[in-house]
Amino acid sequence: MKQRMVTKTGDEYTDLVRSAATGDAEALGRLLMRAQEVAWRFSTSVCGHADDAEDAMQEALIKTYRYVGRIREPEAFRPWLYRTVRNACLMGRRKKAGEPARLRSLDEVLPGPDGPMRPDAPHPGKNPEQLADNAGLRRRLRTALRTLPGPSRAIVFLREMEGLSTREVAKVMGISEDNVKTRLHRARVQLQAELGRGAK
Amino acid sequence: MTVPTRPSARCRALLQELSRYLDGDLTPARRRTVERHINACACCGDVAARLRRTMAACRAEGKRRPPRDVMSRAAARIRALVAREGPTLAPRPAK
Repeated sequence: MKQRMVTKTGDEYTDLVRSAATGDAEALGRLLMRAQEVAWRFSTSVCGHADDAEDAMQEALIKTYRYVGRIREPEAFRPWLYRTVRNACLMGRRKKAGEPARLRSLDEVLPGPDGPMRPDAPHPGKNPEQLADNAGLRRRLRTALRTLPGPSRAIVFLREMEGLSTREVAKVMGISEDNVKTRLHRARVQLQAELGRGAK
Repeated sequence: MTVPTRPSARCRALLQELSRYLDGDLTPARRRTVERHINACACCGDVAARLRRTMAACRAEGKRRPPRDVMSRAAARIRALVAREGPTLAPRPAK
């Protein structure tokens, strides 16, 4: 099986960690800002609690500052950061009433006579990039994300939005790579079904 | 191209592999098999196109940056931390 190449962002983190650990104050400042941005995105996209985002950012800032000087493998920083942010969000999170406990089965979302995935594409003729730029679609995506259980939302966030490899996602989530792939597929299928529904 | 109202057993098996196909995570032989199928089967081709659009929308969402006021507070937190703890980290002990 092929592994996705290390993303540019992943390399950038590694370089920043190396420089910060050797006393580069500018690199440290940029790294601390990146850590807070990750915490903000995770909080608002996965936890869905904008009010808690600043707490998660503060936690990410302090822990990154303390950790970077001790890290032996700069490549391990990125999974560590996402794990830390995830834990910070989970700690501060109050269970939302009505949050889905499980993904819907593929039978519920795969094409069927009355299923949600009818072949009438909502935006025929537009390519993925055009659609991705569509503000309405992005709003619908945020709504669709909320229909996923927390762990699946986190997997979609880490893999699709932040560009972590399957291996890195597995490390952050504490599950196997196969489990990541299976959950990601089911989450993608559910998301696209929700997006199709929201477009009607 | 006609669109079946219900996927066949073969379609359902291939649909399970669609994400791995889209991620470039299949062996060349499996990739060719899935590719041939989604080119020939309107139902699966449609699902693949929708998954691609969903993934593209997620990637676009991942480029979101915090609003200006949030960034300002983040910068202020860094300044406060650096003022308290120092602008650089203590050097790592030699191995």
